[in-house]
Amino acid sequence: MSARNTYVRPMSGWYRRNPHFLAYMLRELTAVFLAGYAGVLLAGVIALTRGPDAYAAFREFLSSPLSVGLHVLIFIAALYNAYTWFKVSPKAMPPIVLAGRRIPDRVIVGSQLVACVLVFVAMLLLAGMS
Amino acid sequence: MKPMKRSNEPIFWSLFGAGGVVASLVAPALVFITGLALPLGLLGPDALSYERMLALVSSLPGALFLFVVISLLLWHTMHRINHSLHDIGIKAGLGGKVIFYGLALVGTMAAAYFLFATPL
Repeated sequence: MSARNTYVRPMSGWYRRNPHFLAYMLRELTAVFLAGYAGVLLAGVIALTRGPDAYAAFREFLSSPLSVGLHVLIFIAALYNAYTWFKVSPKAMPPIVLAGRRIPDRVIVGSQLVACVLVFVAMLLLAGMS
Repeated sequence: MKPMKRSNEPIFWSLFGAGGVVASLVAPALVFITGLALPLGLLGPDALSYERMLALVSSLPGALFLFVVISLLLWHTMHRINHSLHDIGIKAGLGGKVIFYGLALVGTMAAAYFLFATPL
C-alpha cells in the first residue's frame, strides 16, 4: 500500500494574506507585552517587600532607557488591546434591551471608551497627588 | 458509548474574560503611570514613593487591587498566548495548557504570597 499523497495547503505566513488576519495576530501579540507588564508589577511588589533599597533599584530600572522604550511598546499594545476588546464586546455580550429598544453597538463601545478615559484620568490624579 | 468529558474551558475562559476587563480598563492607565509618567518626571515628587507604595500594599483594598491586576492579567495573557500557538502552527495540546496556565498559577500564588503573607 502506497502512502497517501494528499495535497495540504501550505499555511506558513497565512496572516500576511489578509489585513484582517494581520490585525488579529497583532491583537494576539499584545498579550506578550501585557504579560511582561504583569511581570514588572510583580517585580515591583517583591522589591517593595524587600525594603527601601530594593524598591529604589526597581525605580532605577523603570527609569532606564531600555525600560522606557519597552513601556512605550507595552503602552501601545495595551491601548490597541483595549480598543479591540471594547469593539468586540457588543458581539460577546447578550443584547441589552431598554424600553423595548436594543441598545446600539456604538453606545456600548462608546460608553466603555468613556469609562476607560475616566479611569485613566482618575488614576493619574491619584498617583500624581503628593 | 463513553460519556462526554466535561470541558474545563469555561473556567479558563472566565478568567480570560475577567482579565480582559482589567487589561482594557486599568492596564493602559497603569502602564502609563508606572512605565512612562513616573520615569519621565510627569508626576509629583512623592509619587509612587517607597512610603506611599508601602502604605498602598499594607492596606487591604490596595493589596487586593494589585493582586487582581497581576493575577487576572496573567490568566488573560497566558490563555491568549496558549491559543495563539495553534495560529502559528504549533500543536501544544495539553503541554501548552500545563505550561501557560501553570505560569499564570505560579504568578498568582507569588502575588498572593508577597501581597498578603509577607511581613512588611
